[in-house]
Amino acid sequence: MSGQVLCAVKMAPFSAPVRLPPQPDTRQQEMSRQLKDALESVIVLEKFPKSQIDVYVTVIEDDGSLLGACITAAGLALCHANIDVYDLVVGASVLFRGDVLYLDPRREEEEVSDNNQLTIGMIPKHAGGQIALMVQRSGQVAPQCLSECLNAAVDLCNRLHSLAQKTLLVHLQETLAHSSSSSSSP
Amino acid sequence: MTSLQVWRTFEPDSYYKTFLEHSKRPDGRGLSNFRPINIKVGTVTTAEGSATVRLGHTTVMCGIKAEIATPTLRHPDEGFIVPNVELYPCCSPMFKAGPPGEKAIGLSQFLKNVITSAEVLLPSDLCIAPNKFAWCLYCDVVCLNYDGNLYDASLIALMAALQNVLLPEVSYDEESEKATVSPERTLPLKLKRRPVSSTFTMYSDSIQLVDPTAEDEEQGSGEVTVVLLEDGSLCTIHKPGGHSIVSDFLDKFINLARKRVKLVNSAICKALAERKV
Repeated sequence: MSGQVLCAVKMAPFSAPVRLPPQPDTRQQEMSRQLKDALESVIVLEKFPKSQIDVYVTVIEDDGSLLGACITAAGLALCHANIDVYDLVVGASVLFRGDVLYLDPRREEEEVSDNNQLTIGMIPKHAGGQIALMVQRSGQVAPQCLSECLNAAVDLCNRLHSLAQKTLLVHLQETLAHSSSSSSSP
Repeated sequence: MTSLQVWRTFEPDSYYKTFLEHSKRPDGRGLSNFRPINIKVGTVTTAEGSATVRLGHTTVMCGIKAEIATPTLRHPDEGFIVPNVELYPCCSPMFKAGPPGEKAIGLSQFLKNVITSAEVLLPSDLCIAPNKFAWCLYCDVVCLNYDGNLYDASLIALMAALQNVLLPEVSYDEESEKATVSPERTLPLKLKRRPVSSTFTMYSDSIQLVDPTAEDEEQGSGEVTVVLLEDGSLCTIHKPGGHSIVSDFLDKFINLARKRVKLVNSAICKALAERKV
């Protein structure tokens, strides 16, 4: 039996313009589910038999592209926790309204009606780039339009991935420098 | 793993006790030293007032959301202040997902008691129109990282966030019975008192530790929280069970706490001033 993933996205009551009740609403449950689906395909679950990996995400402030940010945060935390993954997973969101493409939309942009939002979670360096999660919500979209959105989102993910990788590397260097200096002093 | 880590993992009690015998704690502090406080206000833009407080590794965030509500029949000219503490599983393996646990409920109640008994804010100041409209302040405290002493950290965060609140001006028209909110004109809250808490862990009859970390809390047997007002007068003593203490020690605690009140309040003022610049 390979490992299992448990995901819970919690939004702080003050994270939205209108106060959220402490009980999880459908949106939080939906995001938890989507995050779980994405992480299950990214973590090397065969390496964790008979075990469960709990991933808890706390949202402090929602200013759009929330699911994408959750995926990126979870991916970085998994790497920080030394859990085997196929690649560092990053998430990005694009919005399509009329002929305009909004990369990484803000909350005000998301709230406007008649728009399409596409959120993807992907592992850009595994097998030439693989998409782990793709969610299209609110509204209709033509297939050509969708592929254009997808290309933009993939491009965004690639940029995010290099940034996330750099962040991990800097953190590692700092930790190594810190541990070598603290072990040599006493 | 170094031998020190092995000792800590397998014999946590003797490891900890050895430190105490030398009047030190595993993080290098003396028994009556507080951890450094780091305060930032206005950290969340979706809240009317917010603050992030770090006590060593303990990190809490307080966000205040204001809503217009109808006053109760019993108190038609009073608004509401509702403190609520959320301890998510993110911050420590001690906490589980689901409905708030004992600790979170106890902490929420403690904050509520301190605010009402210290008269931090008069509920009548939150009234817009008697019997019709009043402000309801939801003060949500979220723990981001748990390393002991949540009482102090949440009260500091709550007080800093309250001082950061800007409420839009509301005018009430009696004829049409309608309230108009003007978001461009904002007013700060009128705070009357600034309570500061100091927490101590009881380890044995003769050993007490201030500002406990999670490890101190685990090793000790119960906490005492002393809440003082800015003029040094005593507001609340919270001792939910635990080891018994002699009254002399309590006097010593109160003297230590008195010094801390000025320190904490000036730290909050400094953080607020930094925000305004």
